[in-house]
Amino acid sequence: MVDIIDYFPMERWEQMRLFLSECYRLDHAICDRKFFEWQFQADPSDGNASVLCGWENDRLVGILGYLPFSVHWGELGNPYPAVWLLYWMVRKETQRGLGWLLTKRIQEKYTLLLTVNASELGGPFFKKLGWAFFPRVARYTCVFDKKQCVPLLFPSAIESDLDKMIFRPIFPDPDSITEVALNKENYHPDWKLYSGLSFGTVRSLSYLTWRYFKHPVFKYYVILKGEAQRPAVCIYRIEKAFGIYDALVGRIVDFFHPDDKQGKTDGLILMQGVLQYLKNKGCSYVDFICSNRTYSQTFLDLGADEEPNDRQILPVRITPIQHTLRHQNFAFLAPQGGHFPVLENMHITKSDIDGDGPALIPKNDSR
Amino acid sequence: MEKKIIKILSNVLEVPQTDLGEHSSQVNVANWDSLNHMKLVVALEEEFGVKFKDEDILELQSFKLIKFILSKYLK
Repeated sequence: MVDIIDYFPMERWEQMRLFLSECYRLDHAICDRKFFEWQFQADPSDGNASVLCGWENDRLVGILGYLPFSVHWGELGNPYPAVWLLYWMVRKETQRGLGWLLTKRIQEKYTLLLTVNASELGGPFFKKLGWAFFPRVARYTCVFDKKQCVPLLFPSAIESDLDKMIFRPIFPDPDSITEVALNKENYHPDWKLYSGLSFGTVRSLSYLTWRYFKHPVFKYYVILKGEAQRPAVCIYRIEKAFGIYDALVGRIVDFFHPDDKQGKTDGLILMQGVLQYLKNKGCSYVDFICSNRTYSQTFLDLGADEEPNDRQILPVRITPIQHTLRHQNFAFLAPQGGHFPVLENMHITKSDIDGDGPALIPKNDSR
Repeated sequence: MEKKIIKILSNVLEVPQTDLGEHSSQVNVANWDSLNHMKLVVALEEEFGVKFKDEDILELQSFKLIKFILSKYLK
């Protein structure tokens, strides 16, 4: 008999660590307690993490992580309660049906559910459950150093593929960028100015603080341009690729701006500033995964190109470098009778939940 | 009822009806994975007009158990 509990008590961490190492990967970052506590927002007051758990005879046999966040769903400035799902797994020897029951349980609590990076099994499951499933969120790449990128190319790609994605600055004297610490004074956007964010997680101060400033592994840089109630925002990090070749790679994790003329200009200047900075830092290329055409267009305007649907030119996974075709997929279950957006009108990026997660804890981790 | 169950198992698991019977279970039918289990439950609910409780969904592990549990719902 399996009991489903709505939370995971961190006092039983050793059971979770064992479960994850046996059912997922022994060396994955999620097996690190500090990272796990951040990922599932373990509450320091009661020691509970946001994970639905299936227990059989006091043994953990299945989990489904869930993160409640406010989402804009067609009405800017009027957030909707939603939940993002992640880490959905069940022991192979456990009775069939537990994975489904975990999903049923969370669907009883929320009417708007979203997820990214569903597994090969998860994708068909979500589709069968009536979710909208998108196998690929568009990825865009911009090359700074073609010579450094050639050794990184996928076997199916050729050097001339890189010619279509070379960084082309527009402004002759780009602004220098300055990392900011977000606070209420410098960041309180009027969301009604951001039509591109009509469908997506509300990029509130509290969300960005958790997502970027409290991240226990990655160092993210948050750059703003414009006034506090209407900033253009760009969030990035630099990653060290290793394996067949060593390189630095920039990752634009999120980017958005007001949709009026000033907002677009601020966004373009901001993005160029970030790209120039990444180039000066020695990055070989930078990528940006983004469903929203409004914001990806800025990246394209600066020389980037969209990676093809059926093959890849430069790798996504770079620690270590892997030449396997990988896409960020996305799925959602919307309230019945409500908005049903197309993917291009939604704002889905690597910012969302575990879209940009570490595979490993760095070896020189001194936390 | 038994014939209907066999037919549903056959359709969902893509196994010939002649290969299914009293002995059939999650252990010895290769295609009886999590996704097909969900499809199986939905098909049984639709065919017999029942709504399984969560605890029973997990127990529908074999032909015999399906027959036994369905009988409870159809009484």
